[in-house]
Amino acid sequence: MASYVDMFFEMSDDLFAVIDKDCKLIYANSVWQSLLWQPDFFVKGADFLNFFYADEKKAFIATTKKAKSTHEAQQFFVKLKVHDGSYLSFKSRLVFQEQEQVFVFYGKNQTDNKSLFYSISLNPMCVVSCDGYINSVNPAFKQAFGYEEEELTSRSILELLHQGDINPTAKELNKLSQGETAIRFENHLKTKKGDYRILDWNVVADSMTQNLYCAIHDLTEQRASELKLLQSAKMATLGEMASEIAHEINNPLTIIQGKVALLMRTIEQEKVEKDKIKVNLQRITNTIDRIVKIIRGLRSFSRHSEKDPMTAVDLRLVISEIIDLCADKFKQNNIKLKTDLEENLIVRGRFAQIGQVLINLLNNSFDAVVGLTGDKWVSIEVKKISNKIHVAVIDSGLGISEEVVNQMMNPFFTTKEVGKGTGLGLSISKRIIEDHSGTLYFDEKSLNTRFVIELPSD
Amino acid sequence: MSKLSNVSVLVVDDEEALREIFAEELTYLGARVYCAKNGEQALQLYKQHSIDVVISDVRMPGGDGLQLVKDITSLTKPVPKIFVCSGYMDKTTDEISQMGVVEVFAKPFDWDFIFLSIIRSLEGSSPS
Repeated sequence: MASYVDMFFEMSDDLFAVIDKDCKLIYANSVWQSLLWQPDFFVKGADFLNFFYADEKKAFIATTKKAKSTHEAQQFFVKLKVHDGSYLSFKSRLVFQEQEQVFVFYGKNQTDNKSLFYSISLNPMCVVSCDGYINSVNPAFKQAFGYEEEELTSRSILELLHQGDINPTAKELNKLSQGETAIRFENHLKTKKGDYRILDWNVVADSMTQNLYCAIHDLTEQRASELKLLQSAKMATLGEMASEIAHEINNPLTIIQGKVALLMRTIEQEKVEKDKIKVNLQRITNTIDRIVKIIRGLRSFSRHSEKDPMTAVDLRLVISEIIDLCADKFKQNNIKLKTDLEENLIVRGRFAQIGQVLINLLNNSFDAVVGLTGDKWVSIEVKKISNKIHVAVIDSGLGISEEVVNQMMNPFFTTKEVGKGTGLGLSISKRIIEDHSGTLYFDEKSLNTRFVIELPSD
Repeated sequence: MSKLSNVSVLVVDDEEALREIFAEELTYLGARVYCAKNGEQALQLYKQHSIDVVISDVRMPGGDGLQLVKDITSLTKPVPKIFVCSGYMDKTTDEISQMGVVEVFAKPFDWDFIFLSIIRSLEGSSPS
């Protein structure tokens, strides 16, 4: 019967081995020989640790100590280098046999071709222990962040993160030990060169080994181009408004110059009429205020605002600043710009971004009605309905065809003439509003062209 | 100080304060001043009075300045000296000059320079 048992060992695809307390090989079944890359090492008395992947030697020694002290079977994963140079992963158990002072090792091959993906993936991946220490990283990880494997193993993944990400990431990882099976989060990892990459992490915990398997997607370039796109769309919107703004500032400047010249002349002629001077000075002050308002509006809408914190935003204030910027353009073209605003219209968000969306909608409405004859108007109505604030931009235009409605929220779709629209206005506006936990939609039921922004009230 | 005595000037601008300044300065220089806030109003005044000089803004609600220039130059009357001042124009200065305009001023402009140009343009031509 004993010889049959031996045959089972030799026929098995699993690894069996017996090693002494110094990790020297006493017995190993023949699978080792057929699989492993250093068949020459496979002799009695060979150092068992030589079969292991470099980083796992230390861990294995620790496991032997634990097996010896606890007298319990230790479960763990090991990676062994095989003859084609790749690594195979084994789900392993190690038991200490007190009587003969030997360790009995059993390893079940866990590897199928899928583990190849680990080495060929273009995305960084790593395996860390439940307390965040790095067990292994894939080649893409090393390439993406510039580290050598030795620099990473037995370091905590948290050490590589941006200061501000350490606690939030630790908190996320903690969720896994509290029963969540998978987590997804973002943070910033410092590369060897010292710059930071924005990373999207998808992490699962292996219940047996307690190891965390991390698949990483580098978002840095994507974020940078998104920011650029947002910024350029905003600049395009402002560019379209530049002529109006020039007009709006030039007139008041001309008034100030004229009034100053008038005052100079009256003073030179010593025909000083106090009241008249007062009236003229008042006129100058009012005119300066007009310029200040325009500049303030421009400043708040043109600066980099994507990273502003979300604060309480008074929509009445946003609308009033936008009207300061656009009023003249509408007046010049005989378009009535009407507003119907309730009191207390506070939302949580970014002032400049909400303004940008409204300017976009107003510009679209303007373009829709400017060429028409008859009564031309654009109206902004803001109402609070239960816990939501509805901002509607309505115009007297000819409406929007179904074909356009279906496509208009797509980036780069435009009905405007070449050079006039970027085709980004609505798609970016929609994104901004969704970032604000709101929705932006075209109201197909309305008789007039009507766009609605719904934002949660603060 | 009556360099513009016997000269009638039509000022066209939608900006009230600008009309005021023009009116005050031109009156001080001795001119008779008519003011309009858009092209249509200006054309009515032009038809009713004998006008030597027109100073017009370009973009105004209810009657564009360049349309006014076209209307005035197409009338059979002797064409007055026309000045255009604007903050922003779709057309170049040359294009506007070719429409029969003496000079184009970009806002904000030097006021003294405008009045000097008006006076110079009338030198050699006898005002009506």
